[in-house]
Amino acid sequence: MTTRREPGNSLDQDRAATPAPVIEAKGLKKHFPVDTGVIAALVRRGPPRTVKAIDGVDVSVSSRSIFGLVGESGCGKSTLGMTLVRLYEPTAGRIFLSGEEVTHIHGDGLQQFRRRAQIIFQDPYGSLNPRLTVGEAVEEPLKIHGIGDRAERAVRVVESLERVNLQPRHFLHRYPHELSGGQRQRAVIARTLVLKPDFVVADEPISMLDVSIRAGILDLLEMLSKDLGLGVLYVSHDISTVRYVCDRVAIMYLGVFVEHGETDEVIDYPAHPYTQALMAAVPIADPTATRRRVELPGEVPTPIDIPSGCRFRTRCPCVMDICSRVAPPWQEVNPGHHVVCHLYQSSVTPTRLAKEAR
Amino acid sequence: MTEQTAGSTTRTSRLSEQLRQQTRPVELTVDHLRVYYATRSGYVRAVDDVSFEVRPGAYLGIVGESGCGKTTLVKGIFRLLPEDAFVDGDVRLDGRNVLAMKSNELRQARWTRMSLITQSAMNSLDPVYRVGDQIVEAIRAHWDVSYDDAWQRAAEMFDLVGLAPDRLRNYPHQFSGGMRQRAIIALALVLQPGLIIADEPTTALDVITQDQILARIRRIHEAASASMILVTHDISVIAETCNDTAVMYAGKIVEYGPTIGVLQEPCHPYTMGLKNAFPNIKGGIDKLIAIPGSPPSLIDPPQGCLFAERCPFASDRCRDLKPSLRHVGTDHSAACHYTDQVASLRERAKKKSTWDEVAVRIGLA
Repeated sequence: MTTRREPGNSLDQDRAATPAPVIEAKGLKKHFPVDTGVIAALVRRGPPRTVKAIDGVDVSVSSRSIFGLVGESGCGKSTLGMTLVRLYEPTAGRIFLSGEEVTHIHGDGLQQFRRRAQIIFQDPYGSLNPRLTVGEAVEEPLKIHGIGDRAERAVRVVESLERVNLQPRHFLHRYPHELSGGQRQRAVIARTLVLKPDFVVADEPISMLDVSIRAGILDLLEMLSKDLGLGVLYVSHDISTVRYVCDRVAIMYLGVFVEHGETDEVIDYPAHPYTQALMAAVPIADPTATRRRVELPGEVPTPIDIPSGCRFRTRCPCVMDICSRVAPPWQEVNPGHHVVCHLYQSSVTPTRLAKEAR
Repeated sequence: MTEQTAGSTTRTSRLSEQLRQQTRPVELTVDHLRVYYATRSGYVRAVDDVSFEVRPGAYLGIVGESGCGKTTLVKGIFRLLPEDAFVDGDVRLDGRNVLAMKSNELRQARWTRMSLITQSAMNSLDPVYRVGDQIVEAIRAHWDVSYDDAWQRAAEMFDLVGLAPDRLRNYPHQFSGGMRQRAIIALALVLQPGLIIADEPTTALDVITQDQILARIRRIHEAASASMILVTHDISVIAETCNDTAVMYAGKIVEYGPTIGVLQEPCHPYTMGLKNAFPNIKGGIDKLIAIPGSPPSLIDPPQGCLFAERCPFASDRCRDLKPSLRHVGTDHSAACHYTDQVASLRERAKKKSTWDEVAVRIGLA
C-alpha cells in the first residue's frame, strides 16, 4: 500500500492493464458563479462565491467498457458527465478524447468532437422533438454533420433502429407520443448511435422508466460497449443497477471521487465510510434478508462552502482529528481499488475493516 | 417562570394523554372498488374491481408500475378524486363507508382517522406559510386547542421525525427534500390517525434519506400501532417494510399475500417477471430480465387476462377468460388460471429465454 499525493497518479497504474482510454480528464473542475447580479456585486465583500460542482476529478473511461458514476443528487455527477462531452466549459483541468486534447476546442473542432462524444439524458420524453417522427429524429444528427446523401442516411437510420430493437417498419414513421417510455429511450439511443460515436455519457438513462423494462435498456448499454466498442459513462444514483452493467465504478461526494475500482470489488468491500453508508442504505429485495444500517447525521454540505480537510468529515461516523486539517490522499487498498480516507493510512487491514463495518 | 413551565408541561402531558386515548388502529376494507375516468375515447378503467382488507395494526404494501392505478386507488380511498370520476364499490373505515360519508363527517375522518403522506412533499406544503403554522392549522381545524398548545404539539412531532423543533419557524423553501418529506410525515401523524397511507413517500429522495425516512415510518408504525399502507414501485422497499403485499397490474390486484410468500414464492407470472427485473445489490451477477412489451390500454382492455400479452405462459384460455383471485395458500391469492402448475412456471420464469419468446411473439425482437 503506497501513499500518493496526487489524485492523478492513482489512475496511472491501472492504465497498463486496461485498453487505451477513449476519454480522459485530469484535475477537472467546474465552478459556477453565484450571486452574479449587479446588486450582489455591489454589496458583496470579498471575491464572488462559486458552486464547486466538480472540484478536481481525474477520470478515464476505456473503450469497450462501462464506467459507473454513483452519488447522491447534487454531488456533481451530472455536471461531470456534461463537462466531459463539453456541454460545459471546464473551469480548470484538461480533457482528452483518444489522447487528443479537447478541453477548450470550439467551432469546427467542437462540432467534430460532438460527433464522437454523445450524451443520453434521463428524460426520454423531453429528449425527442414531438414534431419529428422517430426516423426523422434519428436522421437529424446525420444532416447536421453533413454525413452521406439521402439514401446512405436512410440505410444508417434503419441500421441504428435495428440495433436498438425498434423494428424500422413499425417505428420509422411513428411520433414520440405514440411510443412507450422504454421505446422512446431506445429511439434516443438509436439517435446517439447513428453518428457512430466513440464515447457516450448515459445520464440516469433508466431512472424514469418502469422497473419491468429497465433491464432492456441496460442490455442495450452493454451492447454499445461490448459489441460496438464504445466507452460508456453510466451516471446513476442507484448503486444496485451498477453491478449489472459496469466494469468499474467511482463514488462521488461533493464534487470529488472518494473511491473507485472494479465494480464487484467496490460493492463487496466498500472502503470509504461514505460508500459503506451508501451501500448500507440500499434496501434489499429479499424479505428474509437482514441489513445492518448506518445512520449518517446531517445533510450534504453546500458545494459553496466545502468543509476543510476531508469533505465527508461533517457526516462521517469514523471522523478523526486529522480529518478537519488534512485532505486525505488517494490510497490503494487493494490492487486497482483506490480510496481517499485517512483510515487507511494506519496499519489496519482495510479489507477486514470494510467487512466489519458492514 | 417556574409556574409557567410547570403549567406548560401539564398542558403538554394533558394533550399527549388526550392524543394517546384517541389513537387506535383502524380497520380498512375495500370492497369491489372501481374508479373509471371519462375521456373522449371512453372510460379509463384506472382501478377495476379491487378488494382488500387492512386489519388493525397491519402494514400493507401495494406495488406496481406507473399507470397501474396505485395512486388512483389511494385517492379513491380518500375521496380525493375529481368530480367526474366514476366511483363504485365500498371503502369502509371501521365499518363506516367512506364513499357515503357526508362532507362534514368526511372532513372529520380525514387526518384524524386516516392520513396521507404524499409523494411530492414540495407541492404538499404552502410556500407562503411557515411550516409550523401549517401544522398548527391542521391541528386546530380538528381540535379545540390553543395556538400555543398546537405549536407545542407540532414541536413534539418534529422531534419524533428527527427535525429540530425551531425549524417550525422556517418556510418550506428553507428545507431540503428530505426535510420537507419529514415535515409531511409530521403533519400526517400529528392527529395520531389510526390509518396512515404513504404514496411513494421516498421516490424523489436519495437512497440515504430514503433509508432514514423509511426507518422513521417503521418506528412510528411500531410505536403508534397504526395501520399502514405503503404504495410504491420499489419491491425492495416493500420487502423490507411490509407484512403483506398486493401486486397491482393494469388496475387490478393480481397477487396478494404475506410479503415473504409473494416475493419468495410468487404465484402470478407478472410478479415472477417483476422479481427478475429488479436489481438486488446482494444478488449474484445474474442478468436482469425485462418483461417485454407494455401494459394494455385501460380504455379498451383485452377480454381475458390483462397480462396475457406479455405473459410467457399465456394460452387461449387466458386470452378469452379473465382469471379471478383464487387462494394459493394461507392468506395468499393470485389471479392466474395456472396456479396449479406454479412450481414449474416459477422455474421457467427464471430463464431469460422464456421471456425472449414473448418478445418474439409480440414482434419486438
